[in-house]
Amino acid sequence: MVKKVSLSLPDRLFEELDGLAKESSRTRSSIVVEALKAYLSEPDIRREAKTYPTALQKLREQIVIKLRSPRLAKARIESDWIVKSEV
Amino acid sequence: MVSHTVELRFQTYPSYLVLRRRDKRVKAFGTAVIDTGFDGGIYLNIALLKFFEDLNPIRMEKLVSSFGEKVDCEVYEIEASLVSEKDGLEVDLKKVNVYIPVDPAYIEGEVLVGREILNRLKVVLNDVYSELSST
Repeated sequence: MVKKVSLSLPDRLFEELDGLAKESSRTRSSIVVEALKAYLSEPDIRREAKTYPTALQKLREQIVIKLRSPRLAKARIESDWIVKSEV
Repeated sequence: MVSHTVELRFQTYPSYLVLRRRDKRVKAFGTAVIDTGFDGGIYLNIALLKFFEDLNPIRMEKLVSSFGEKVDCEVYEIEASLVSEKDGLEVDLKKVNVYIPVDPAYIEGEVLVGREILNRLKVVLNDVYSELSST
């Protein structure tokens, strides 16, 4: 099932879309659909910081670090820092 | 007035710091560097970021880096104490402010203990050890 929508695009963006469509022999619709799918498949990147610390969220989005869970008792993390449960 | 007296290798060695999250019943402990040039309480390193996961910052603040850049930081409040390396005695710092830069590029490898905390303590420096006590 396909729904039709009308879009308002700035002139320059429309020209780019049109140029790309001609260049790649595709329809403008198919390019917009592909771009929208790519955008929606990466929710973490478009989301603003809603969980804290923001730096931790940014690092996760960049897949730079993998930290061990501080919930694990006696789990050694880094730099000689240890996290332990308190009973 | 003075609840505990501990000796820490203050000038040449880092100190042992304990951070507590009562809500999760966990504590983190490790070495921190006493930094008399740091205005804030604790400046976090990358390894401890996850310890603060899901906590909400109490405010935002701008710190000025040693290069003169303004660094946006989230400020968190957490219970902390300093521990004597020698005999395990603990100086309870109660609630302290922890500064975490929003931009990960400004996060350093060491945990720093700054003047917000040092100003609460009586610090006596000598050749080898320094004596810290809560006031």
